[in-house]
Amino acid sequence: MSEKMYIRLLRLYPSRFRKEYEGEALQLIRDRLRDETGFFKRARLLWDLVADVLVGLPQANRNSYGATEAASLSLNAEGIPSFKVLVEEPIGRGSILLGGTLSLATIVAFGFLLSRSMAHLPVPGSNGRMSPIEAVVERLNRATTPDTPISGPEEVSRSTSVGASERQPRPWPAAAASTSKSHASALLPESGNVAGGQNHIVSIPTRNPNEHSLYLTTQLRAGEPSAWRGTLTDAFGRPVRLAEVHLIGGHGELMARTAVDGSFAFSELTSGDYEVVVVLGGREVAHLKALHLSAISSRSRLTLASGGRLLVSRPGKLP
Amino acid sequence: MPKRKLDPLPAAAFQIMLALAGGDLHGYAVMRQVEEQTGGRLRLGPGTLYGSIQTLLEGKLIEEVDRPEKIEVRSERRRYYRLTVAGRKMARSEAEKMADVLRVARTRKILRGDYV
Repeated sequence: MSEKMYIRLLRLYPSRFRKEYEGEALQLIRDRLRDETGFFKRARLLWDLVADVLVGLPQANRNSYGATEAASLSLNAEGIPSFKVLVEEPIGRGSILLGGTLSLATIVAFGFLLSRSMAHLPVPGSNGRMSPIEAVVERLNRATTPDTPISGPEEVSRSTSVGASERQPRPWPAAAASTSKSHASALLPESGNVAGGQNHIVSIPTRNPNEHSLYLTTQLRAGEPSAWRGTLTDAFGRPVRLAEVHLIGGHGELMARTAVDGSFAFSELTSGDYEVVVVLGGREVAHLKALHLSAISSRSRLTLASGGRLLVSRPGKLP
Repeated sequence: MPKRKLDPLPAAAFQIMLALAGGDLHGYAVMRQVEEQTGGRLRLGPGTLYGSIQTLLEGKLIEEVDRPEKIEVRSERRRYYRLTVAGRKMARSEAEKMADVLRVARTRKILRGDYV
């Protein structure tokens, strides 16, 4: 039994070693099997063979592949690195094939991982399709009261101010995004004058080409301070609540906190370029370097995308 | 190069050289001799034994010789090894290094006198 086992173990040794000493090694095993009888001695022999493979295998490999010779250009002095060339046994075809296959597999696996965005990596506790930011948003949403769509004249008619949150009708009806007449009528009371502008209702196509969402837009007068309203959602269109939307511009920094339905509002904004930062749970989760708010301001949807990106969608520009 | 592999001289290689200093031996006899001279502490397995023999052969510290005539012919084919002059010189050098170490150890009273 030990001899058969050792024959298998010998296959781990380099071919050069096996060619030279396989017969001798097997003879040694036979000698020991002949001389060492009894359970204890056989067990010791078995242990010796296993330990010998662990110790002797690296040495045999060094002997087979480590036979090197200093190249002609090397100084071959102690302590000085120099090029070495193999002089005895080159690397076998099997080793080259195995190394090539493993390298190729590694490259393919690495390329596959690179092709996938980090945002697509599943997060523990998520459904496996969320990005880390979306998972945080999901947890925060679950930690608070259940999300209920708010609609109706009472909800939408509340006044807003800078730095305060505003309740708005749910702008992205993820599941109930149909453009039913009743939903449209629920939005209509909001279409009063905002900062002296003229209101329009714009139909925006959703992901489903058969469904549309209604957005309220405001035609503002040029040069006058205007309001900017919007809704913050995650990549799946779900509102992000209790987030801080910071607007940084020439006037300084303004902040609005999102409401339960993810809506936020700024008033008294002049047209110009702003930097937008979204802070969630005390951490900056998204950043947009430049957002141009012109005199024609409309309700916007800010979407937390993967990689800390912040996407701004406006009526007419949505896909 | 073999010289580099043997500097410092591995314990197994040194024991093999000591075993061969008493006469030509084949692999199994070398293993038994090493076991005996180390008091059973070192039992060379086939891989370690023949790996060391390979290194010593490449370093020309031992050489393969024909089977001694006084040994009766058996069915197994065995190789016999002999310590070369260079090998004996290296073994002596290594033993002297160890003797120096022992001397220092005795001076420091780490070892008692009955060791040497």
